[in-house]
Amino acid sequence: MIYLDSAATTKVLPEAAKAAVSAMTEVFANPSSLHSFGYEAEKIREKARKAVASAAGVKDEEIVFTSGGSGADNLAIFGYLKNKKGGRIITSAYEHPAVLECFKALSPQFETVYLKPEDGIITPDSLKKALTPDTLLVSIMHVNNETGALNPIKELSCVTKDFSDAVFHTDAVQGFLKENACYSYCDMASFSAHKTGAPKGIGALYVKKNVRLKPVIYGGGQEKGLFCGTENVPAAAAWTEAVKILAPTLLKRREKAELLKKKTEELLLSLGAVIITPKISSPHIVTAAFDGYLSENIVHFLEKKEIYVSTGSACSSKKASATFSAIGMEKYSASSLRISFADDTEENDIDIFASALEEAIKTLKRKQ
Amino acid sequence: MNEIILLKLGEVILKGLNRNRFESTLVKNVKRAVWPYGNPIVSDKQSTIFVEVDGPYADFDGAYEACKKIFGIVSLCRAVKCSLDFAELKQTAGDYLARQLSRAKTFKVEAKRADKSYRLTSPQIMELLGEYLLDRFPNLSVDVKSPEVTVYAEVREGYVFIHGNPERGAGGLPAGTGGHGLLMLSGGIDSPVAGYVMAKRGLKISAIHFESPPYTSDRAKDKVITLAKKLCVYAGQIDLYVVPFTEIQEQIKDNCPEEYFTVIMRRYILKIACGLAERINAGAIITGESLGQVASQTLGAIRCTDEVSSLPVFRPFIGTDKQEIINLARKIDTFETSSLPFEDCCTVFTPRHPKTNPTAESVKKAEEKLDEEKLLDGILDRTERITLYAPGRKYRNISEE
Repeated sequence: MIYLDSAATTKVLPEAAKAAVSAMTEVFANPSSLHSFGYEAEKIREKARKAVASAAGVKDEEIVFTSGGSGADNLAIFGYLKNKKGGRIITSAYEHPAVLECFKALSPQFETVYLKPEDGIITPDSLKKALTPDTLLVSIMHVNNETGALNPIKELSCVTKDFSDAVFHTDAVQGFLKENACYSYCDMASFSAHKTGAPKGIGALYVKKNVRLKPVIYGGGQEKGLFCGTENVPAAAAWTEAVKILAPTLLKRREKAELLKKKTEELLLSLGAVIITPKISSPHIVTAAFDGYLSENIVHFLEKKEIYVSTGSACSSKKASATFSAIGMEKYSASSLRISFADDTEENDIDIFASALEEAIKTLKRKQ
Repeated sequence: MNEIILLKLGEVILKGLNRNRFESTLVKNVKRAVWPYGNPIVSDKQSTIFVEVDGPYADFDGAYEACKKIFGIVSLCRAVKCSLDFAELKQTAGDYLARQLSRAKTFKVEAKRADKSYRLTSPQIMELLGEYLLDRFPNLSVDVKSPEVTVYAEVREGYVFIHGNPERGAGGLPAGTGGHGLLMLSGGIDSPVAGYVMAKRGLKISAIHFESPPYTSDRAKDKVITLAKKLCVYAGQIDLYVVPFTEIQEQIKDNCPEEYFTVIMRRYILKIACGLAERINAGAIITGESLGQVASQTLGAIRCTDEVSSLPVFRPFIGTDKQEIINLARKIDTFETSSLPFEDCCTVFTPRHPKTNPTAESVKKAEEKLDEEKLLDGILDRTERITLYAPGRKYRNISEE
């Protein structure tokens, strides 16, 4: 099997899976229990908090665990805007639906502004122009999940602070443990475990100490009352292991992905593809379009050979993509493929993929 | 850009013949503080310490923040290093300070020449650079008395440092240059802050904590460990001694009148602390007591406890209000941890009506049934030592922890 869809999700690392099993079968206590067995479970959870905080470059107590990336985005946006009456909120036109849908839901009360990317990127200048004294929140993603575009979040965050009193949130789901970034200069950042070697069902929101949020999920007071519900200790245990393995190797993995990306882009170009991924982008994602083909057909063709890639984003494959309209590439929306590398992807896999793709293009062309 | 942190030394430079010892400790402390944010390159010249961070994961912002917490530094700033070429110098100054200068109304330029062979004199540098900046930032005007931004150009041999307004450093004396103190760390709000202010005056800190399981829990003990770790950020490595205290507390409860529980307990705590201090060569006991805050911190109670001490007891907050202590606790980031609601040894068996003004005679009478020798016998040998360090290398190198 050649899995080139890591931006959708990844295989759980064996060490992480082992840690999860141990937390499910051995230290299975409820971390909220008073007894020492409960405390053991709490410690596992706190270890994860420390690991995630350390990898994100923030303080332990600034991490709130959530149900995943979408949970974190919802907590950031609704949690911050609850009880606020009116004002401007700014995001980019190509956010993940977990942010875009929040903005849509809030559009009756707030003035929503969607920034258009330039050359695939949200520039500090365009944000500066959109900021007003009554701007409450800015949410710009770190790495775009469909094109791999890498936004300058540090600069964007600085501009937000320099020219308004708004808080700056970033959806860093595709950037965490992949980009060498420190998130402490943002006010909030969303992370998800399953994009990098840990299981689904857990994510985190970094909330800077002085940023006050209101709960989104009410209950027994877990996670400082912000995201209640019995803690998912097994997933946290697994996440710790994944972070421990992946954080120290980040630069090496990134270098390797750069090489794979370069090779992939060359091969795709030689097959007549249009590269959608902008110049400033994450090395883990290549998006390219084959004009005249339905990418859906290519995906199904490749799956017969056990090669797995995505059409655009896995989350939005059923609708027209917001990203593609935002970057002015609507015409390629239905014909684009997203290839995203896993840590164990080898050059050889790319060769096999490329020859299968070539075959697909020939075969499918004949069918037209 | 080639950024560098400049740290200006405070009181240290007044230390005469001891100055070398103070400075070398300070350089060591700087290296340790910066290390989590990359490989530190630290040098020391003319009462300034120069810090650069190197390595693939170098985090300059983090290193700068860390430097703000080092005792012995009176002020600090981030600077950029550029060549002696004046055209480049002007350009660099404008680019590097663009953010501050484009938002300010007034400014001035200060120039210093350590290298007197430079072709421009200090007044010339000030004039020419000022002219250039006025031209480039039309929002600015010159104010030599109280400018919003002062642009500094420090000419050294071979290069120039450009920087803006310096920030205040942590002040005080380098941690570890003023002897060794034993901090009574209960888990409350005051004691970690007391450790902080004494470390600021140069004391090396060790800490002692009394635990009384099952009346106190593991969570309470870990809370104290967390607090001590937070203190390590300022004070450097801390040895935390955890004393098993259950038996003594139970004996006090069984054998003494209730209103004296607290004062007797505190006398025992102090006796044990003094014993430990002698063992580890500490010259003072440090507590977070504030006069009249609770029944055991009245003048009468303090007299009764101090009576058993063989060492000076430092109480930096004796005349400080709670709110001021809380403000400091927030500043050093211990307040939230201190506020976690776990029992500690001080809240176990709290009397309903503690004696607020005990006298030495009455306390002695109240504790006469206790067999002190037996209770204290071997207690230091049963004490656990935990060595703590400031949080390790942040970001990617988690596995090193």
